[in-house]
Amino acid sequence: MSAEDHEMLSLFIQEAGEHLETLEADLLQLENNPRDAQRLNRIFRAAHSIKGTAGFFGLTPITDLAHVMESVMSLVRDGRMDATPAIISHLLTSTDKLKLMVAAPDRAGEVPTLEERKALQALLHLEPAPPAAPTPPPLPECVRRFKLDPILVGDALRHDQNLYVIDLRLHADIEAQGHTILDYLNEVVSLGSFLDSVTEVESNTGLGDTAPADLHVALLFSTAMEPDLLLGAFNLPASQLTEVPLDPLRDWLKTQPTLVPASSATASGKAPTPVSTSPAPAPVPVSAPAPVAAPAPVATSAAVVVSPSPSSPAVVAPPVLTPAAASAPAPTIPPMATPMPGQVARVKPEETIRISVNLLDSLMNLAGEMVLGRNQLVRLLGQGTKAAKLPEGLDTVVQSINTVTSELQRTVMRARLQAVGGLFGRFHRVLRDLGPKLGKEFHLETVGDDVELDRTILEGLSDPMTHLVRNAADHGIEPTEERRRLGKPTMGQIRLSAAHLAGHVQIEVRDDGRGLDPDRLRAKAVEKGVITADQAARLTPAEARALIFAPGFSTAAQVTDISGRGVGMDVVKSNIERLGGRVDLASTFGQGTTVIIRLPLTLAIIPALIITQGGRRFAVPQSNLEEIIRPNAKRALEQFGGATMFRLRDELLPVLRLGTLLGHPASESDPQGFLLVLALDDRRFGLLVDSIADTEEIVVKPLGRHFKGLPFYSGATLLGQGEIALILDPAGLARGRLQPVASLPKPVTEAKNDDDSIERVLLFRDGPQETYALHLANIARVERLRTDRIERIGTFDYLRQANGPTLRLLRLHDFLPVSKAGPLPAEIHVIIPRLLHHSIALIANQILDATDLHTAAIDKETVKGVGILGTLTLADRLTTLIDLYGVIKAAGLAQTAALPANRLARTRVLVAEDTALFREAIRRALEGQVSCLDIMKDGELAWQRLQHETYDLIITDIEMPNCDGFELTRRVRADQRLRHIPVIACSARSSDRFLEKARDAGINHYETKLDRDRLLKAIETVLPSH
Amino acid sequence: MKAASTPSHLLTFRTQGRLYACDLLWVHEILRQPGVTEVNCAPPEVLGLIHLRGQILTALDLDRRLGHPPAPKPPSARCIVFKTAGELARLTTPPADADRAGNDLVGILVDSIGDILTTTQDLLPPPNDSLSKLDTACFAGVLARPEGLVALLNIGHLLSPSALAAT
Repeated sequence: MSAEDHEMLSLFIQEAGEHLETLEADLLQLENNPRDAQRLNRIFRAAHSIKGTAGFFGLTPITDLAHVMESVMSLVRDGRMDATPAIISHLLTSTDKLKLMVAAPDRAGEVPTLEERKALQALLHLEPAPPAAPTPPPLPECVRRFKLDPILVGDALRHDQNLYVIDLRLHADIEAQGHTILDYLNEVVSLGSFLDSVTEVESNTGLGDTAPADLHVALLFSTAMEPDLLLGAFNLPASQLTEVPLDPLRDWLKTQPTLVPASSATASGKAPTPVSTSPAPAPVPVSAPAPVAAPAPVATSAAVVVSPSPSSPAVVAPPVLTPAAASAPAPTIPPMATPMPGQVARVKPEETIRISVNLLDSLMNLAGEMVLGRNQLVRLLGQGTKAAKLPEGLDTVVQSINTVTSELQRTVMRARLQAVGGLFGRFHRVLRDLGPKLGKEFHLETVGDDVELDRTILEGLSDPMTHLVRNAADHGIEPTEERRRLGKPTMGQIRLSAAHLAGHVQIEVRDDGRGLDPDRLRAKAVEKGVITADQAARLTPAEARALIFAPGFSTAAQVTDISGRGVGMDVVKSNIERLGGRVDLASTFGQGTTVIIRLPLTLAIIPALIITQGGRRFAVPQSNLEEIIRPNAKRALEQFGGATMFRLRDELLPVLRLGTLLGHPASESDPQGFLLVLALDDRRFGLLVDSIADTEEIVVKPLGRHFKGLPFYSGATLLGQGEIALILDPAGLARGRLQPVASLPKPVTEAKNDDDSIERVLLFRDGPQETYALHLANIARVERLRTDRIERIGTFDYLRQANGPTLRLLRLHDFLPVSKAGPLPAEIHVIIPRLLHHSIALIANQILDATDLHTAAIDKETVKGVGILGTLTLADRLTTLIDLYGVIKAAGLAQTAALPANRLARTRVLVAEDTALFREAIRRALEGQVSCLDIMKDGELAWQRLQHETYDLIITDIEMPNCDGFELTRRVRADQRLRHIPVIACSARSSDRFLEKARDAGINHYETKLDRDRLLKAIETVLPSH
Repeated sequence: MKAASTPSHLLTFRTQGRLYACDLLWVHEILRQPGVTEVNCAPPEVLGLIHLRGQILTALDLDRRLGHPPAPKPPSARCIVFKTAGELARLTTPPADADRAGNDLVGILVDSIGDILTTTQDLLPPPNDSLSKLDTACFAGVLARPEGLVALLNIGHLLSPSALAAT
């Protein structure tokens, strides 16, 4: 076999394969909408093209099967047969067989297709047809070698088309003119429709060695064009074109079983269908698009303009509009006449060519090189202007090279993107096939098919997605019977969606099946030895659900051939992570499961922050970067035991030093550097680096095999001047280096002084004298406001808010033993506290700063009073520390406790709270009202206390050292003796995640801090009534 | 280990006075004045990364890879860049250990490049495992030449990460 033949055959394999893909997708879609004319047409054409190309190569087995498929489709398209599920099934199995044959065309004959052909043939005979004439009249000589399809021939004649036989030499007429076969056939199809083709060498199967250097192919072709025009279009000499006499064909047609008259019965109810085969233009069946009034010229390589002519519906190519094509100007002149409804505009689909990924990658590299060259050029030009006179207009040229280069890089990037629709579409078939096997029914919904992802990511996504969809079908969705019993829709809903979310693509696989059972997962994990029974008992339901990602964990009671293929969810997770993505799971037992995959848009170019460390440059992905902080004397790094921490607002941030990680000696010149706050999946940490250089879009290059074991880097990149910078992988840097906050060693300061801790407060003033401090955790927000917006009712001041409750404004001097602040200036600040129960705000005429205070420095004795926690010196001023609850109480806003005093008085309360301020607040709220109030500084101490004392109620903070509130509650719930004790959690953190985690841990009530009334109410609700 | 048949064209090179050779079919190109960017925490045999026309190449230190003590590279150092799996696959007769090639660009830094030998001379067996601490699997055999003994390297093995190569 010659090299050219090889190449052409492999082209055939590719192109036919593509046709088969669309064929399958279209067939599946047809089930939902059996009368979709465009789709019917496309299916017909796909079968037709495969038949045609296979004919070119003399691949008879493929041609034969494609031929019957085409015939059936032709009937369906013309409305003479309905696309029932049975028919679609036959067509689908035939498509499968075609795929097999196309994959290995030289062995196509070994694929058994008799059954499929019989089944389809049977369908053809179902069609009511007059008995065939016993002896068909002789056909014209020139068409005898073709396999004539009466339906197609009838079509052509009805549309008043001419038939031609075109003799082609494969190499001389097609290849030598720079066409590929498909290319050429596309052109043929754009000018008319071809009915059959034969290769001259009968014995020639699969381009055997006997094939002559130039293969002769004869095409039977129908078109409305005149012969001379056609010759011009194909660039052929007249000797290679034969016009077929039509009358003998008409006679022959009358003797055929699926003859034109049959169409009168079913063609359409609306259009009158001719009974005879008169050459007059025939009305078109309603399922087909109406003839185009003024078709646009078809752009062919021979630049031939087609004269206006009605064309057969089989010929009109419905535009396959990709999003890109939709926005691009159509390559043809739009038709002059307004298109009729339902009409298919004759737009040539956007031309595509196939190029190898390697080629694309080297294009990418070259574009990158170009960028570097451009940068150097720009720099040199900058230097040049100072040194010597440059040629006129040089900077304009450089400017335009600059823009073009950037555009080039962007365009090459875009070439790598593909829509996820192709991947999603595959699952229609997967589920259709799975349904009967599993005794279930599925409905697949896809959303966001046009969302584009880098092709490498898409490829990597294929396996995990297949696994997830099969999982959903096999384990998630219940059998039809069970669903009916449960009152769910009998069809299991599986939804695949893709969406752009802030520089990422989020893909979800959702089912409405039985969901994950945390108890079963726990049991299974213990049985498999993934965790111990003790650990299992402590897991929250969410943590239990996450067990399915553990290696060696599979929940199917039995390994089925559907999803139990030795690949677990751990592989899904690691595959997704390899793509730079994350997997999350949401599931409600009994209601379904959603797997959420977040992926970067592309692996190839990412926005990054360039930093330097030890004189070297590194890139940090912006997607992980939350903020950059410059620590200073006021906001310094702190050492807690062996760990470095930074107080970021009300959070303790563990800090890693990049220099230490990389093995650089600690740099003395700038000991503080910059702190990057990096967000990982479930936590944040600070990364201390020497300095910040730049932000840049970087082209990610993978590192070689020698770096596989190195977790710090996710790749390398070339910076502007061509130097190499490594890309840091925040997850890899943090792996194994961050202690969970709860188990952090106790702060050293705490150990020295029993009651010292660091709190962050807001310093503000009202009037010239007093400086106040209020705990930042108490403050929701601070607003600036013109005094004339304040409204006065009686002696009270109010502020109306556009979206929120009206706030009562309090001036501290009205309630506290402090000096009068004097009249309000024209503009003031209002401090709006984080309180659920009261709508109040404090007036301040000046906001000074936010600062840290040591609780040990608080003087509680000198100034005493309601609403005052104490005084201390902050920023060289004597500052009054405000007790917000006291202020509310003093303002007469506090409600009396709803709980009967006698019941509260019998309650023994244990409090675990690490923040001194809140310990104080809780003490003030409950002291004297309950029979016993023990306040411990962390969960561990509280837990020890519980071993010796008896309590009726636990109030706990969430975030504490040693043992956090979740952990404390879990231990309590796991203890036979203690599990009945109600637990109230008090925390300023109130995200949904926390609330859910709190519920999972067994916390009875979740309260935001420091609202006494709510706390008392909460106690009332959680205490057993007796 | 059995001495393999000698490839027909050998590129010779020298590092720390020792003579080596490799199958010329493996060689992609030779870089003068390679600018190496060091990588913190990289495996010992990795010298760093080299920017090669928009691509990034892993540069190995031959001495360290073989197990010799490292030495500073002279200014005349060259980098021999080897072909990737894809490039080798395009050869009509790929070298014997082509199947161990990866898709990443890898090169080794050597002190100087020598001649190209055309030889059908038989190989002496490589040094015995027990004699040295060297990664002897890197050696295909030894050639006795007038200028001295030349160690013929198994490039496929040499380019594999040493941790993996041990298996």
